[in-house]
Amino acid sequence: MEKYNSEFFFNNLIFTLIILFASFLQISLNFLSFFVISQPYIIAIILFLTLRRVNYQVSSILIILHGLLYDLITGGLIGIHSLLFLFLKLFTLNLSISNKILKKYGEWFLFSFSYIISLLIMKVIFVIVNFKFPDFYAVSFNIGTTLLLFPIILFLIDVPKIVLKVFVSK
Amino acid sequence: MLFEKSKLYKNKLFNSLLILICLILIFIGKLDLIALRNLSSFLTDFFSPISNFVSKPALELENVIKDVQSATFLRDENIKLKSENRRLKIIETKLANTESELIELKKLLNFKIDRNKIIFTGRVLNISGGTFAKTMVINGGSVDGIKKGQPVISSLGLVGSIISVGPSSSRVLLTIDINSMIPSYLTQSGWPAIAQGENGKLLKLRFLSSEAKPIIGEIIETSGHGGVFPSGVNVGKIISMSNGNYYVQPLPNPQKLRFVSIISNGILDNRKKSTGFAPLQENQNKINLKGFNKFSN
Repeated sequence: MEKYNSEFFFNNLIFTLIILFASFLQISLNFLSFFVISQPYIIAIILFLTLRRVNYQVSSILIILHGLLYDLITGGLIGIHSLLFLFLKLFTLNLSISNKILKKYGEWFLFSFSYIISLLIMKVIFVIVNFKFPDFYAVSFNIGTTLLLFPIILFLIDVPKIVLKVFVSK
Repeated sequence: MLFEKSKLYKNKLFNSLLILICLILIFIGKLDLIALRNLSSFLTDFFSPISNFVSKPALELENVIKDVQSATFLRDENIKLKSENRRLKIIETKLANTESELIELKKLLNFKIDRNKIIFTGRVLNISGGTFAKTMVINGGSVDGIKKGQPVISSLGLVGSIISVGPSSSRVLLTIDINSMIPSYLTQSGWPAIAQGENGKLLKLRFLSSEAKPIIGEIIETSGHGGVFPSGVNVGKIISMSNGNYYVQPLPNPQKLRFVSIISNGILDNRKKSTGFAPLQENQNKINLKGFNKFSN
């Protein structure tokens, strides 16, 4: 039991640190002129990869807390990122269609499906709460850059594995 | 089988409950509670050194890109600058004459000048440019005399206004944010309008009279109505029109800003001295302005 608790605590701590780093990295991207309209959601990519690839079940409450912290740091509407990340988790793991997409088309398609659906639902809620329509071009730019960044991050994560494979085979 | 069904049902119920909690959080956030605002200020203050540190590689990368771009277009830029310099010299002589005339006329009319003063110039720590909010954090706070609502400008024009203040950092709501509304006027025709952000890179002109015929390229300035922004600060220029809506490109690009100035417009502190572009009527005993003159009481 004690071992389980320490492992649980350690995993959550590591996950928190990774998400915090991803948050600051995402914020820093706005200094690049390429992301003039909107910065891509690195946190969403990291969260998706953690949910899919890491052998540890991320708690939904922890995800909500991270979303809340992100909203407080960036000065956005409180709770909006909590719900976005929660939807991302639910669409990635809990839907039966998610497994079908994963088997048939792979990880990138599953991420695209989960991310686009989650973001669009959040945009609808955002419009209802604010009574204003945001710039659609900014939303599509955000979706596009995030989806393009996904394979790049995936490749960067796999680089150590590829290098190791090369060295081992030699 | 029954156990699995019950587990699935419990799981669905738990997820629905979490979604409901998040929705409640959104509505609590919309209430704009002071406690949450203070918590946000504290966290911004606490994390700003880390955020600043993590932003450094991106800043350096942007500088390298800028250097490479400027080196590529150095020759073209030189030719362009020379012609611009010639044009500016002609304008300068004309301006000197106009300025002296203006000073003389102001003296004759006993014109009251707006006393806007820069109270702080700070460095931009980070810019949050997500699809939900457009804000910026600067390295000045309540200890530097910054207060909520104060306008923020750059050398090119209006950047936004202060929305939360911590001890050593403050958050600026950028003009392009969906919650930003700036009372403005068209500089050539003089029509008033509200420049509203859309969480994109342009502002939309709202409440513009149907009689107004804005010109593409026309400059928009703050009108000073409402007393939050001082009058005569550049907001941007009209760059496009679609479906009867006019879109304004803000003159300062938030991404290229490294330093901004916070100004005290003397209106928030003492609203009796409000001098906008076209000031609202002063409170008079016999006239009921139905709430418009509440600030001058």
